[in-house]
Amino acid sequence: MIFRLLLVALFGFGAGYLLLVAQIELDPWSASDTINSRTLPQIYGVLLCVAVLALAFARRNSQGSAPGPAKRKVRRLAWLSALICFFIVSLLWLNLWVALAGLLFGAVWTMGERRWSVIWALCLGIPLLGFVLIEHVLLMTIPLS
Amino acid sequence: MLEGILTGIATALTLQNVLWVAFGCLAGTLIGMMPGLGPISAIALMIPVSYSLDPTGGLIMMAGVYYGAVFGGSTSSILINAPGVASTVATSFDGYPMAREGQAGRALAIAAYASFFGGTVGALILLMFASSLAAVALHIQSAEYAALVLFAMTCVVVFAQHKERLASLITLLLGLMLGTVGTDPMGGAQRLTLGLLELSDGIPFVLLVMATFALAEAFRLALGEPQAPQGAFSMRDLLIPMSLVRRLIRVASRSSVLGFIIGVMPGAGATLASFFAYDLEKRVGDGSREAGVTAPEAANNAASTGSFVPLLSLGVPGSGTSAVLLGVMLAYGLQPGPTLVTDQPEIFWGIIVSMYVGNVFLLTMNLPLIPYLARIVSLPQKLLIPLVIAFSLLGVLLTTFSIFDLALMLLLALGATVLRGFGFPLAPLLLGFILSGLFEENLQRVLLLSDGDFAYLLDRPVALSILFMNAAICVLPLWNRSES
Repeated sequence: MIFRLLLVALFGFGAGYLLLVAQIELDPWSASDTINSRTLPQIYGVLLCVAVLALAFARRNSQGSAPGPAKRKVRRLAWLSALICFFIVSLLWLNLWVALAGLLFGAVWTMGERRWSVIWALCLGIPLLGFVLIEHVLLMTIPLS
Repeated sequence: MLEGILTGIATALTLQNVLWVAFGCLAGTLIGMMPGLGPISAIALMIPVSYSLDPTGGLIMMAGVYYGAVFGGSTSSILINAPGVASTVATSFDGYPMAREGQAGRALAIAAYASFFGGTVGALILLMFASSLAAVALHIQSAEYAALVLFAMTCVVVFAQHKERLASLITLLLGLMLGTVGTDPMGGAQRLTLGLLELSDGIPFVLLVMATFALAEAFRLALGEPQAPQGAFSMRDLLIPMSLVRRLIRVASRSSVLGFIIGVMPGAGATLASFFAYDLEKRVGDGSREAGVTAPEAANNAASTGSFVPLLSLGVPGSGTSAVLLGVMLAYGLQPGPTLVTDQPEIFWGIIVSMYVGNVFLLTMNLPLIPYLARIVSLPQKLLIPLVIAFSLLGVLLTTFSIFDLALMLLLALGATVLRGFGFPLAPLLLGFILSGLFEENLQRVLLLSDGDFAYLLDRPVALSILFMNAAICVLPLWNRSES
């Protein structure tokens, strides 16, 4: 069932891609070229849709996929994704290394580490090492945009 | 030529230059091990240091940095599945599974030996045929490139396992489609950018690699992939049984020659070489994981050496890295080209010999470190996963400096995790992405030259031969089926 949903999503991706390709603005002097800005993307999009249909046809009788992961682990993945989102947003107002320390703390905690010595060593050690190595040894500045 | 080689040896083996090669190798390895920072970044970061040296010393050090960074990239590729550079992506296909099976030390040792072997073969071919190879490379033009790229894509699908053929085609197409995002390489039209300025230059390759391999791998581990066995790593991992050595020498030999030839072609570079070598080995070789690590490592090192041929002999950079090196040479007031070998033989031959010296240093410096590096994979997952997440995000940030790219990376990583979960191979996606621009650009150029006439390809024997080979391998699965 989930595999079929994935195939539907892939087909939808291909169809959406083809719609976007149709909206590419062509220069008047290249519109009549054998291969212009739209040609290859159109071929790729059509081929993807055909390949997805062929895969759906080929696996119509098979069970399709392995058993899915446990709910608890999916929740863990959702937490990690949320943490990364928070890290990305926090870069808008926090220093990179502070945000990285926060991300590491959240991720280590989510993964189940509870020894404070390890948590602090990782969350402070890595950002500090990165700061010294990247900004002081390699003299790189990180202008985020 | 012998006189030139002796001049090169005399130049490269002065104490000062040997020390600069050693320093370059060490710095390159350390920088290359950081996800996102590859040979280009390593060379760019070392430019200020090189300016304080004389041209010979500076360029010799840069050769060491180049090799060191390529090897450093392999290390992160094998240990945490985070290839910082495109040319080490193929190494991770078998290197990372070896690490997960408790053979990280052996995988790293094989990578080091194969790199050394590839670099040695590359340096030898370079010494013997540098000038004549450059002339041959000039005959490889857009038609041949387009045919070669098409051939590479066909190989990926045709030679995939029977059950994975359609899945490989789908991920290859997804890669090709992602590669079309951004500005059209020839027409200049904005494509599929959704009006976002951040996408006008396309999706950065480092971002895609980090998303589909490093971050997606961390997600997969979080979803319950088993922990890598806790191996006891020692110097014994560096000793490879003689029977395996004999087998791997054959693999490394053919991969090195293939890598060098591809590396000589301007624009092809180490990435294409490593993918080709890996693919070739999986088809004609025994398909073992050891061979899967050896082939791309030998090929990418030989290709790195090969890319110096057009740079030194013609002044044409064969890859992004050699383009940066060209900039360094021009800054020194040197003009690479046919006259370099006659006007400044100590520099021409000094660089070539120092590449080999760099290889020797790389091997002797890195081998003792391998047992310590290999311990990284036996870290508990609850520490390894946060580290991989942090390093991959940092790697992309250090390359693109864009917060938008981090969000895109998360999206792609989640997509890749789902695809991997359902058994879709992700290597074709990366290959499709790499080849997308190369294919379109060369095909458009061919049609521009021929006024849109595909028959132009028939006038080019090399391109025609590659297209014939392409057609032949398409028939291969049908032949196999009828045989069985």
